[in-house]
Amino acid sequence: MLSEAAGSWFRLFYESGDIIVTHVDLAPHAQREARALAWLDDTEKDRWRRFRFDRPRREFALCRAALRAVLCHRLGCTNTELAFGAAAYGKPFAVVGGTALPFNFNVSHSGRHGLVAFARGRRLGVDVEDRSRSPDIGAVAGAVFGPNEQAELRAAGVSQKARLFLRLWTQKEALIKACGTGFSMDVSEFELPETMRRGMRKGVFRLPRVPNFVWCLENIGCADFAAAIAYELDQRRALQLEAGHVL
Amino acid sequence: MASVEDRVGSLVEKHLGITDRALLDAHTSELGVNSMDGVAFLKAVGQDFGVDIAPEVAAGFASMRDLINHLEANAG
Ligand SMILES: CC(C)(COP(=O)(O)OP(=O)(O)OC[C@H]1O[C@@H](n2cnc3c(N)ncnc32)[C@H](O)[C@@H]1OP(=O)(O)O)[C@@H](O)C(=O)NCCC(=O)NCCS
Repeated sequence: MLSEAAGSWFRLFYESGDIIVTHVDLAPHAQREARALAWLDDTEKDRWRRFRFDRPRREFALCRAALRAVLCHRLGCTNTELAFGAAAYGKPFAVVGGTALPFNFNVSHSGRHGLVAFARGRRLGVDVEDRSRSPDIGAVAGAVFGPNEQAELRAAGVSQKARLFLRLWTQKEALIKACGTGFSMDVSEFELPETMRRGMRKGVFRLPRVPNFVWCLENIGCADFAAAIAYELDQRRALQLEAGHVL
Repeated sequence: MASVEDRVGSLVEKHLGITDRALLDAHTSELGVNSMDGVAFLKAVGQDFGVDIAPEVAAGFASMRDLINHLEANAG
C-alpha cells in the first residue's frame, strides 16, 4: 500500500475545507519510479511506455501513483477498483466500478515539483511552475496576458518580473484546467481580478464567456515554486464573497 | 528555400529541444511538452510563417505533422 508516510515521495502540502493539495517530489529516483509504476493499471503502463523521454515518464508515474494512493485512502476503495477516464481536451476523472466519482482532482508537474489537488464534488484545477526554470517571458506574455496584465509586467522591476509572471501564469492555467478546456481557450481574452494581480492570495472570479460559474482562485506558491488552485464556488457563497465578505 | 517540414523541425529543435526528426510524426501526448514551452513554440511558428494559429486550432493538432499540414495549407 502506498501512503503519505515517511519515505514516500508525496505528502500533504495544503488543506482548506474540502480542498486538499498533495506535493509530489519529482526528483529522479529509480526505486520510487519502479514502486510507482507497479501501482499503475495496464492502460497507464501502456501510456508510460509510449512517452519518448524520461522526464514526462517520471512525472506521469510518480504523480499518477500519488493520485491513486490518495484517492484510495479518501474513498476507501482498492487500487485495482480505481480507473480513469478523460473528458474533452483530456481532463482525467476517476471511475470506480464503472461510475464517475463525485470526488474531483487535478494534477500538475514542473521540474522537481508535482501537485495533486482534490475537492469533493466541485471542479478544480491546479498549476505549478518550478522557480528554478526561468520563463521566457518575452516569448509568452503577449499570447496569454491581456493589456493591463502586460502593462503591469512591463512596469515590474527586474527582480519582480519573473515572480509576477509566474503568479499570473499559474492562476490562469489553474482556471482553464478547472474548466477543463486547457489552452484551447484563448487566455489573453480575460484578465485576472486586479486584487489577485496586486498580490492578494485569494479572490473570486467569473470568466467573461461563462459568467454563471464562479471560481475561487488561490495563490498557494512558496519559495521553491509558483502555484495556484481554482475551484468552483456555489452561487450563495459566491454572492457573499463578491459582496465583500471576508474570504 | 527550406521546406515547411524543415522549418518546423528547426523550430522544434530550438524551442522544445527535440532533435529526432522522426518525432515529428509522434503523437503530441508522447512528447511531454509542457504548456509554457508549447505556447512559446507556437508563437515562434506564427512569427516564422507569418500566421496566427488560434488556440482552439492548435488544440486539435495530434502531432507536429498536423501542424506542418496546417501550415502548408494556410501559410502564404
Ligand atoms: C491541460 C494543459 C493546460 C496541461 O498543460 P501542462 O503544461 O502539461 O500542465 P500540467 O503539468 O500543469 O498538467 C498536466 C496534467 O493536467 C491534467 N490534464 C490533462 N488535460 C487536462 C485538461 N484539459 N484540463 C485539466 N487538466 C488536464 C492531466 O492530469 C495532466 O497530467 P497527467 O497526464 O500526468 O495525468 C495543456 O496540455 C492543454 O492546454 N491541453 C488542452 C489543449 C491543447 O492541447 N492545447 C495545445 C496548445 S499548447
